[in-house]
Amino acid sequence: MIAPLSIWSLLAVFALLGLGLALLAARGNRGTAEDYYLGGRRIGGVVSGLSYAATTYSAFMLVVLTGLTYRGGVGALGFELIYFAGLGLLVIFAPRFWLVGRKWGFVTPAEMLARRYGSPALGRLVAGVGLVFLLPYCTTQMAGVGLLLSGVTGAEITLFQAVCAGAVLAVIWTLPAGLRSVAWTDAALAALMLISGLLAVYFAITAIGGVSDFMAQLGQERADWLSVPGPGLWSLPTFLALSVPWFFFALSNPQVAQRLFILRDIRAMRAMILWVLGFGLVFTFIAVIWGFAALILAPDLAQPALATPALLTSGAIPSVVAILLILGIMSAAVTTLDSIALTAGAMVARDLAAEAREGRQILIGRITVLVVILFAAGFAVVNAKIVEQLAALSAVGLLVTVPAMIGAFFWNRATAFGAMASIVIGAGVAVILVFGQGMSVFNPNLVLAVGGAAVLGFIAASLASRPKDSALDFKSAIADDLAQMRIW
Amino acid sequence: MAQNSTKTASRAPQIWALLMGIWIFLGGIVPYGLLSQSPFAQWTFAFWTVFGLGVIALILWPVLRWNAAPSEKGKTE
Repeated sequence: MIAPLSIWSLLAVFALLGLGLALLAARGNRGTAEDYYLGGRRIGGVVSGLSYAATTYSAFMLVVLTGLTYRGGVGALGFELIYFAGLGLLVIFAPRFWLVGRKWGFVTPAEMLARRYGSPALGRLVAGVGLVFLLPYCTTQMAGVGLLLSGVTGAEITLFQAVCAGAVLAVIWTLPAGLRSVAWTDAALAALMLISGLLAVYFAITAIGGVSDFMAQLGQERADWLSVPGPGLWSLPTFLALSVPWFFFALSNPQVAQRLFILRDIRAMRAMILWVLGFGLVFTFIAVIWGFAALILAPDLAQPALATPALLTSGAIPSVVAILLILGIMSAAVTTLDSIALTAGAMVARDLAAEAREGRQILIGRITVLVVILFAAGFAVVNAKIVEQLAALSAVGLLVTVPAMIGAFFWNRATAFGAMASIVIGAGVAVILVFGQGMSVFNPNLVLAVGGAAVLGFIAASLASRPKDSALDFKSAIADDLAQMRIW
Repeated sequence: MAQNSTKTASRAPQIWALLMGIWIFLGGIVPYGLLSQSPFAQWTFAFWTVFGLGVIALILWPVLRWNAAPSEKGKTE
């Protein structure tokens, strides 16, 4: 076990350093909503790339993905890499988001859709769906922090204390300067996540006897885990059910889609994509190899989600590295949480309270950030079943906004009515199938039904209605810029 | 000659999308087909490693040819 005092001491130092960075970042803000939510659209490639990566790669990686590897083997790597391939959507959509964001001053993806289709009601609907499915996802981040800290200290740090620590970090890193503080702390913490992960994997493999012994032991003792479907978890239907909705993450999740508005220029966007790709691939391998190492060094755990705490306390990892990795995992959780909270704040301020003055929009955002973090912390502690179910459903639930996003750039005939029908029908099907019929998120019919309903609803309702006069024509408006920048 | 290269360039997005689609399809399906019967346990891991690197190469192909506009003047982060 790891002494709670050493974790608390380092957390305190960690919090102070993060606060210093956040306050430093706050000096760059000039008091506008665009500044608070998007860093004035002047964020460079390295900071935005690391921030995008830290927001995307959450506590899920070293807690859940590691657990999935421990339980089901190499299928977890394939699942995560199909998600990784979804970053290919950035090639087409990132420059388009950026160009229209600059041209019309959009702050959230919901605002972008509202203006494109000429319907403020659509913006409110997209923001509402985002909030319903993202807030429970925040809860899982907090629960991950709780599971980790109580696991490595033998429950000497309680779930409540761990969750409070995560909430305090998220608040102090978000409130002072909004996106600037979130992006700067994200960038620093992404580096910590990567370095601590690499060190931990190195020591775990060394404890097993080196790379060749590690591979040999896996091949001899856990051969089933090295192929699919493996020991049972990764059947092809399960693989598809999990991979397909996550493939669209870059478009469907507003906290990452909004990051496409913050960039300084196309050069910064290119650098951002390079950083995300590099970080994503390395971090995916860290999480999966870590899961395999746990299988050898801490076998036969009843709960696969405890693989990381068990490996950290197995004696194979030096305490300093173990504590660094704990901070790395907490960073992963908090950076995802604070980014979601800030995006939720932006959606409430810009899409639900669009009439508010600039200063009021920042205040509304700050209050929302606090509410979201308290919500996540509270429900992580009480462990409500409905929140758990919604969190599991988040990837599929957020998928319903994707047809409207694609149509916004590639189908001029698409209408506000079509976009709204797509979202309402898709989300309705998801809720009915999961809550009414008890369908599991591991069932591929769920994503097929929800995705199919959303696409059909979008096409049919668009054809049955007419585009509004106030709708914008993104396609023509950015065609010259795209050609000039040699963007497909 | 110039006409040919313009034609090829105009088809590049479709070729890229097709390659990306095929690559992702193979990434999902090969381990469940060919490799599930493989006598070498580590092959699936190796295949997915190559798949991940291939994804990076496919994404970088269009991104590296972007004509990045010059940076705006002023303070940046």
